[in-house]
Amino acid sequence: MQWTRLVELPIADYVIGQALRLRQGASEQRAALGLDLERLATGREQLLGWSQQTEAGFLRIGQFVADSYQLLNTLREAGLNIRQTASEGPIGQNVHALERMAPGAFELLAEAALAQRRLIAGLESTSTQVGDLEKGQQELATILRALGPLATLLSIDSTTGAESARASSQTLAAELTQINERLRTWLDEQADQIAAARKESRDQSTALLAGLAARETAVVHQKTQCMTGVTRLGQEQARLALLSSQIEELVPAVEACLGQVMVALQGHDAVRQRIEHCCAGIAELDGQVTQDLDHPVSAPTALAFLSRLSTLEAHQLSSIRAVIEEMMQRLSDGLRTAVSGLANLVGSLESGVGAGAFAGLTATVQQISELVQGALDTESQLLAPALHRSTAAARALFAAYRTELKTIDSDLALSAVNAQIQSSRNGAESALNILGAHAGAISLEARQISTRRAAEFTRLEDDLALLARQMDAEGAARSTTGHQLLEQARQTREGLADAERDMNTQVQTIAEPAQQLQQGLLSVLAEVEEFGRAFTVAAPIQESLDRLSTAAEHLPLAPYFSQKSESRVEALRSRYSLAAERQLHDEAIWSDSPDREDEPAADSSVELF
Amino acid sequence: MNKTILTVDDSSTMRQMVGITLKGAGFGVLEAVDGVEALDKLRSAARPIDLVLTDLNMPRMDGIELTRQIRLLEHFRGVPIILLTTESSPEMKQRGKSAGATGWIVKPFQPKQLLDVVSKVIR
Repeated sequence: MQWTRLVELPIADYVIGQALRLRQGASEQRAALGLDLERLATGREQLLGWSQQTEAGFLRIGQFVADSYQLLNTLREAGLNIRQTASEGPIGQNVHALERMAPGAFELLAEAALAQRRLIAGLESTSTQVGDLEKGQQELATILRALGPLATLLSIDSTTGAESARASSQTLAAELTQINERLRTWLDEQADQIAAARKESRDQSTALLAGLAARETAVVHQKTQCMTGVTRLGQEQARLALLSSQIEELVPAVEACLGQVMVALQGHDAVRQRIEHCCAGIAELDGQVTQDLDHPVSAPTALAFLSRLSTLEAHQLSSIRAVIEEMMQRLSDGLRTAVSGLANLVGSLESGVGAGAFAGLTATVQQISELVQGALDTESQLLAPALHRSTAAARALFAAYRTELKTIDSDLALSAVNAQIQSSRNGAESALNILGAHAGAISLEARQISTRRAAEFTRLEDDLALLARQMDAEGAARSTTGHQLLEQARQTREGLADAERDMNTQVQTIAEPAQQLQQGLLSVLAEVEEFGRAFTVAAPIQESLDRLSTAAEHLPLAPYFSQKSESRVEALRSRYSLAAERQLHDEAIWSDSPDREDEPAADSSVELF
Repeated sequence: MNKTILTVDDSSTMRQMVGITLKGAGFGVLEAVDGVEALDKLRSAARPIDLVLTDLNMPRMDGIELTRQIRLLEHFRGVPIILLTTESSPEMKQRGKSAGATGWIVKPFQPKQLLDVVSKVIR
C-alpha cells in the first residue's frame, strides 16, 4: 500500500504536473486563439467598411460609365462626320472643286498667254506689213526717177521740135512734173504715217510683251502656290482621316475598357456578397468557438474542422484578392491606354487642324482669280483693240496706197495716150513717140505694181481680218470660260470658308466629348486605384484567418466541445462546405472571365432554353 | 416605342450596371430589389413589360420562385425571363428551365453579351 502510495504519489504528481502544464498550455493557446478571434472580428468590421466604401466608389464609376457611353456615341458619330467631311463633305468637295478649277484656270491662262502672244505677233505682223509699204514706196520712187529724165527729154524736145510738138511736149512735161510732184509729196506724207504706225505698233508690242511676261511669271508662282495649297489641303484631308481613324481605333478601346469596368463591377458585387457572407459566418463561428472554449468538453474533429475552415477561408480570400487585383491592374492599364489615346486626340484637336491651309488656299484662289481676270482684261481691253486699231490703220494705208497707185497709173496712161496722139499728129519721128512709149511703159509698170501690190494688200487685209475674227472668237470663248472659272473660284472661296467653319464645328464637336471622356476615364482610373488601395484592408482579416488556422492546429486536445456544440459546428461546416464550393466555383468563373481574355466570353456562359 | 425591361437584383451595383447597358441600347428599364417587389411592379406596370432579367439568389423571393410566380400571371405567361447568376451547374439550370425561364446568363458577362441575348429574345 505504502509502496503503492510511494509509486502512486510521484505518478500522481507527474500526472498533476502534466495536467497543470496541459492546462497552462491550453490556457495560453486559448488566450492566443481568443486574440486571433478578436483580430478576426476587427478585420471583419474593416472588411465590411471597405465593402461599403468601395460600393459607393463603384456606384460613382457606374455613373461615369453611363456618361462615358453617351460621350462615346457622340465621339463615334463625330468621327464618322469628320471622315465624311474630309472625303465627301465640304472639305472633300472643295478639294475636288480646286482640283477641277485650278488646272482649268492655269490652262486658260496658258491659252490666254498664247493667244496674247499671237495677238502681239499679229501686231508685229501688221507693222511688218506696213513696212512692206516702204517697198512700194521704193517702186514708186523708181517710177519717180524714171519720170525725171522723161520730163528732161520733153523739155529738150519742146525747145527743138516743131511748134505743135513743142506745145504738146510742154503740156506733157507739165503733167509729168505735176504727177512727179504729187507723188513725191504723197510719198513723203506716207513715209511719216508708216513710220508713226510702225512705231506705235512696236511700242504696243513691247509694252504688251513686258506685261505678258510679268503675268506669266505670276502665273507660274500662283500655280506653285495653288498646287502647294491643294497638296496641303490634301494633307489636311489625310490628317482629318487620321483623326477619324484615331477615333475609330479609340472607340472600341474605350468601349472594351468600359466593358471591363462593367465586368469589374460584377466582380466587385460578387466579392462584396462573398465577403458579407464570409463575415457573417465568421461572426457566428467566433461566438461558437468562444462559447466552447469557455466550456471545454471533447471534440477533436471540430478543432480539425476549425483549422480546415480557417485555412480554406484564408486561401479563398487570398485567391479572390489575387484575381481582383489582377483584374484591377488590367483595367487600370486599359484605362491608362484609353486616356492616353484621348489625350493624343485632344492634342491633335488643339493643334488647330487645317486653319492655315484654308486661309492660304483661299488667298491663292483669290490671286488666281485676279490673274484670270487680268488676262481677260488685257486681252479684251488692250490687245484686241490694239490689234483692231493697228489692222484698221494698216488697211487704211493699204487702201490709200492702192488708190494713189491707181491715180498715178491713170495719169501716166493718160499721158501716154496723149503722147501717142501727139506723135501721130506730128509724125513718127517726133520725140513724142519715144515719150509715149516710155510713158506707156512706165504706166504699164505702175499698173503691174499696182496690181501686184493690190493683190498683196488684199491678201494682207484678208489675213488681218481673219486674224481679228479668230482672235475675237477665241477671245470670246476664253472670256466665257474665264468667267465660268471666276464663278467657280468665287464658289470655291466661299466653299473653303464654309469648309473651314464646318471643320471647326466638327473639331469642336469632338473636342468637348473627348475632353469630358478623358476626364471621366481619369476619374474612373482614380476610383480603380483607390479600390486597389482599399482592398489592402482585407489583409488583416486574411492574417487573422492564417493565425487562427495555425492556432487551431496547435491547440492541445484539452478544449472539448459539447455534443450540442458539435451539432452546431456540423451545421456550420455544412454551410461552409457549400460556401466553399461556391467560392471555388466563383474562382473558376473569374479565372475564365472575359475580362481576363479581353474578349467576350464564349457563348457557353449564355444559354437560351 | 421602346421596349421595357424589368431588372431584378438585390445588388444596387448590378441593377445599375444592367440599367446602364440597357438604357444605352435604347431600352426602357424598371428595377426591383427582389422577387416580391418584381411581382408588384409587374402587376402595377403602366406599360407592357417585354423582358424580365433576374438574379437567382435574392432575399424574400429568389429568381426561380419569381419565375414560377410570373408564369402564373396570365398577362406574363409569355414574357421572356432570363436568369443572371454566377451559378452554372446543370442542376440549377434545369431548375430554372423547369420553373419557366427562357435563358441563363452566367456572371460575369460583357455588356455586349447581355445585349445580344436581349435582342434575340425580345425581337
